Amino acid sequence: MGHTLILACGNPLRGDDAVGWEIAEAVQSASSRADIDIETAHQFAPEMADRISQAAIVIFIDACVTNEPGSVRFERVFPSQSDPGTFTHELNPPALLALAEALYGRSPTRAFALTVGAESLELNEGLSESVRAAIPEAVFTILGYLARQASLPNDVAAAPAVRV
Amino acid sequence: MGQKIVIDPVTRLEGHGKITLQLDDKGEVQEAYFHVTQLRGFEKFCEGRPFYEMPNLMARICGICPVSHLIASAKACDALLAVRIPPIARRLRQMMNLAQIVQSHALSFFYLSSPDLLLGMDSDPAKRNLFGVMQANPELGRGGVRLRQFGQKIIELLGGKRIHPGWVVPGGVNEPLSAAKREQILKMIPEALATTQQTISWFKQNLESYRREIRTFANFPTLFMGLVAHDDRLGFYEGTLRITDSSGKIVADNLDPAQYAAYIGEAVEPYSYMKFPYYKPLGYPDGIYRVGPLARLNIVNRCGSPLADEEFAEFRQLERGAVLSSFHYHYARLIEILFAIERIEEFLNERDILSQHVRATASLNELEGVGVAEAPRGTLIHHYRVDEQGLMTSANLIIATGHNNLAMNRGILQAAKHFVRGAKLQEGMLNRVEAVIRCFDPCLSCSTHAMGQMPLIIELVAADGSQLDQMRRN
Repeated sequence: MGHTLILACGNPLRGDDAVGWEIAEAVQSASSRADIDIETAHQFAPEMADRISQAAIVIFIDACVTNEPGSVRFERVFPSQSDPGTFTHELNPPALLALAEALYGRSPTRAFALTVGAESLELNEGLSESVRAAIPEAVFTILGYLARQASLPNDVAAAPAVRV
Repeated sequence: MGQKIVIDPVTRLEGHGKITLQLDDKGEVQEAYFHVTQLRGFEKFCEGRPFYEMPNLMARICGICPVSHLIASAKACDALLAVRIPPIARRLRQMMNLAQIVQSHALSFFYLSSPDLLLGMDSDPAKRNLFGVMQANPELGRGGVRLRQFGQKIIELLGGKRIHPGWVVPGGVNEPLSAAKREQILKMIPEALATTQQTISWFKQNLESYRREIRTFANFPTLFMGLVAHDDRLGFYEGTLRITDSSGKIVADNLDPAQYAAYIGEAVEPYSYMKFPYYKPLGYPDGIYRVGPLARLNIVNRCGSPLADEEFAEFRQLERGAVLSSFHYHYARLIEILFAIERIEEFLNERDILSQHVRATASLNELEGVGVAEAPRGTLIHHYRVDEQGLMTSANLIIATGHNNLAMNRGILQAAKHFVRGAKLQEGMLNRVEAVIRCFDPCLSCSTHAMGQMPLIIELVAADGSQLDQMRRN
């Protein structure tokens, strides 16, 4: 099994938008695994396609305004060019995976988006209570998934994901 | 009855903008306005803060060119301290500024404008993005991503992070360059140079197909302004300001950037939050001038590095005097990328570049300081006043995009008169009007500071305010 790339996106000056960064830091503190690379950024940018293409598993972490505040969702993401948006310098995870394929000929075997419902994205530092309370669940979800993958035989773990 | 066409907001720009085209009774474009609808509060809310916080605070104005603000702000703070920073600190700041030029120019050319240039102004807007570029010319797309990565990586290596690095401080920089980082950057140079040269070659081969755009995209006489280094090279970090006219003649030279208020005035118009700077001796609006890549290549006699100078010589052959078409901002941008990469390599090979002496310390010695640098989009001016405790009493920022405000407005009018016909809106013609602005690569977040989504809404409005037509793309 190759390495895992965790890409956390957010703005620590916009309230709950910092949750991605905080989860990334918590994963880093909680795990001593050498096969996990963690990167925090303000946006998911096209330049990330290079690192994405080299990873076996990619987990995108971000705050989300459509989830219930504090709720954690962990969903499979597939490459898609269908909605790159009015594209400037940021991309959504499906478009970023598609860009990795287009640029480098491969995308990770498995990709996921872990999102946490945000309560407030106003200009301030610090998470709201409900969002902070969701961090342990988010960390447990990520590390639990990676532990299960690590325990699988190599050929199973490396099998490509199937779109359902 | 006169009518108005409104493009709101304009897409593939940094920030929010809106265009209004005023039609006359015959349906011909009579006037054009580029509205910047964001409000910037930075000058106001920094009042009362200690001056040494300014570089980090001002860098937050923009996520694309924070380094430029960091550097202009640090230079203003150097002036408040009245220090001469160590020579290697100056070099390292220059290197970071050039890395910023590369990454920002790569963003502008490859991400924002290459879809128009490669796929055509009339191509399907759904495909006019980086994926469309990837399909049509994968090498070009890949090169753009890699080049931006190159600039960002240097910023990250020098400053510890790609966006909002806090490494540039009043008095110098807070950490010297290590031998390992120098080697890492040097290894990336050949690929970056090759990518840039290939892209310039591709662009030149295709110039003929943009003839109409070259002729009509803000192609008119103006003044040009920018920093020129003391050795007469392109001066991105230091030097004095030079102003030339459309024939290439020097109008004013060796202008002290700290005295900018003596020759630059700032007008305001009710339809925009962005100010309208002008060259004072010619008054407003006759003192219209342009800054940025096109202006910088128009005011110098050489770039100052071998490969860039070869391209520069060819570039200046485009016209007898100054190169006037703003379409050539794209061309100039590519040449500047080449120059920046060559200069970074030159700096890295200097004998003392790993010197540990990279910061001068001092207390507050002056109550007023001005810092000027060339940002990717043009001359950036930070002017601070402080009280005796070092608390900010006022700040004035003249942002690169602002200098071009008059020219952008006039450019939109020129392109709209050529491409917009009657009341029926067509995507291609409106894309051309937007593309004029994209030539300047305006950063509206910088010039006003705001953020948000950027769908495009185009409205055709009659003089009585009733809506006649509307187009929208997300």
